Amino acid sequence: MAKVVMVGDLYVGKTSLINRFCKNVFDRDYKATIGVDFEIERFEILGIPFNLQIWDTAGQEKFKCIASAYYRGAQVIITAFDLGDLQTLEHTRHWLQDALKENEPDSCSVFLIGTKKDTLSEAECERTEQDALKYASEMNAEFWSVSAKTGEHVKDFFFRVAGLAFEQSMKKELEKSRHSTTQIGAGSLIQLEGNSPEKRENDFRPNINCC
Amino acid sequence: MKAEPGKHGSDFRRRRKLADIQKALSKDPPDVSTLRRMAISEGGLLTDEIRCQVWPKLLNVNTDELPPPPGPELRVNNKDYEQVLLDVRRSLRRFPPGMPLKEREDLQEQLIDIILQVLARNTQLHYYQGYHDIVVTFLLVVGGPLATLLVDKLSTHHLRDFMDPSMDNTKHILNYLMPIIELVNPVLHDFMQRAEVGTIFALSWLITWFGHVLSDFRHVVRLYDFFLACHPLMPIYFAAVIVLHREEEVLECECEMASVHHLLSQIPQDLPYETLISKAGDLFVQFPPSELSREAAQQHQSERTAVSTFKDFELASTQQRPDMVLRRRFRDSVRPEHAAKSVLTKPRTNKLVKLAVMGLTVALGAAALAVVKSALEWAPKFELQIFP
Repeated sequence: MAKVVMVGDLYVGKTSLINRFCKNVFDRDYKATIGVDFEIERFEILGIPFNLQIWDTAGQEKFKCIASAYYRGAQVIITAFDLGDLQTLEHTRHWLQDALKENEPDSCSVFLIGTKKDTLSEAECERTEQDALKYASEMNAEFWSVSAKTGEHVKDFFFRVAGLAFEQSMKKELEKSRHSTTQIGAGSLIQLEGNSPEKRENDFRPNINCC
Repeated sequence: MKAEPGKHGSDFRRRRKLADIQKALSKDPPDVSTLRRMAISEGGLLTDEIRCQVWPKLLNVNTDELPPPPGPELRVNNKDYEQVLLDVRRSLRRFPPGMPLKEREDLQEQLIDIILQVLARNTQLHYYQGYHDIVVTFLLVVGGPLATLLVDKLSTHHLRDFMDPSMDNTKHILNYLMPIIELVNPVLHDFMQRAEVGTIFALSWLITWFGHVLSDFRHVVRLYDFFLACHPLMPIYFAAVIVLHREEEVLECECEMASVHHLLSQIPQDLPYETLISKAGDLFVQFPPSELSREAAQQHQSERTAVSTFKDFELASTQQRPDMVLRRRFRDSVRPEHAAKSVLTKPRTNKLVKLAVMGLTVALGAAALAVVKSALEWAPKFELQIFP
């Protein structure tokens, strides 16, 4: 199980993106999110059942202090913006800062995601993507552009999120069992053979270029 | 052979209620305490036509002068316009299914105008997402011009805390939830505490008066009848009653924050509303806000909340009655025999109120009586002044 938190300005399409992925629907007829809500998506990765708990937060500034309590313990932070509204891209920095504040440094993978790709021409999209890439490298985030309406890249994106979260969880699990073996010196459910501790330390932050 | 005695009984009760409401409305001044009881008791105010007449009385709003529709300049350079527009655009579900597109778009424009008008008239108020869910309910029931007046009053009183720049006071009000649950069902309370579920699942219930989460509009307006007739904290009692009603489901849930939050935030659409309403009234009487405030404050600094604004509302109710000034003048010039007559009428009125309350007690159980009493505490003040 991994916790994913979705943040970003209001009306950039956070809920729509989650609904497209979890329910495979795009509904113009949805409501503004008040407070926080979440969906669970079940995966099987390498034969192991793995759940993503995707927290959807309200975009209005006023709800930030309420939603921020739910940022805690996130493995993945997704900062969303509207590809057609550069201001929402600028605001992703603040959203990320707030979300990181509630978490251990370096414990989260970060994604920057541009939404509503279908509303832009290819040229416009490319221009915004250039800007977004700059932000992404500053934020140490992986950038994706998607459309909840057409479904473009939505599945791939969340699979990528799940993959990274899974990897991270496994590493944490290994670390935990390594600790427990050294401390208690007895049975762990996960076999440690073949996992070098060096790899774990070098590779704690997920490598964003690997796929 | 009597066919469907239950139906006849309810028909009879309905007709009697309609008559009672009309009678209370036709009094001068209107018998607001009776109207309150009618709004709380089974079925609420029955029809939207009655609501148009009674809701203004419950909020003590003078409907003689309806505000003119705003000009286009209202939207120019308006700091809230963008946000309100985005939320209203996404509120399609709040309009009756099957409503012609043109009509709905028209209402959505009106909805934006009402919100911006109220915000412009009260610059101390700050818009929140969910406010539009409240305003749309008024718009659909009473229409644009009257909705503007009612929402204006509601926003400076019942909703005042939600309209602060921050949500701190709202969080404080949410802090009343767990103490209520604890007093009624400590097992459930402990389970929820262990799960660390918090109270944010009830946030949208509270700040939209359930308008955001209930899909059947009839249920929403029924609750609005109830809330408009009661103390501003009643929605939090109602929230507690819903959680208590779902005890079994909650206890079966994995004792962990996400599961419990998820379960509770998905509100069942087939709740027994009338039973829950009378239960909420019951709890309000057993554990009034003053008794809970200490526990609630433990989680949060005690600040200016709905409770204190409610006091202002009481005061305003008595002082701002449109006919108060006239009556005062009348009283000054009243002749001694008139005064004597007024004194004589007083006990009769009280007896009538008592009788009516007893009728309600039979219908709703003893608890409702006390809810009404708490409402009466502020409603009859002007009566006392009428019969000095």
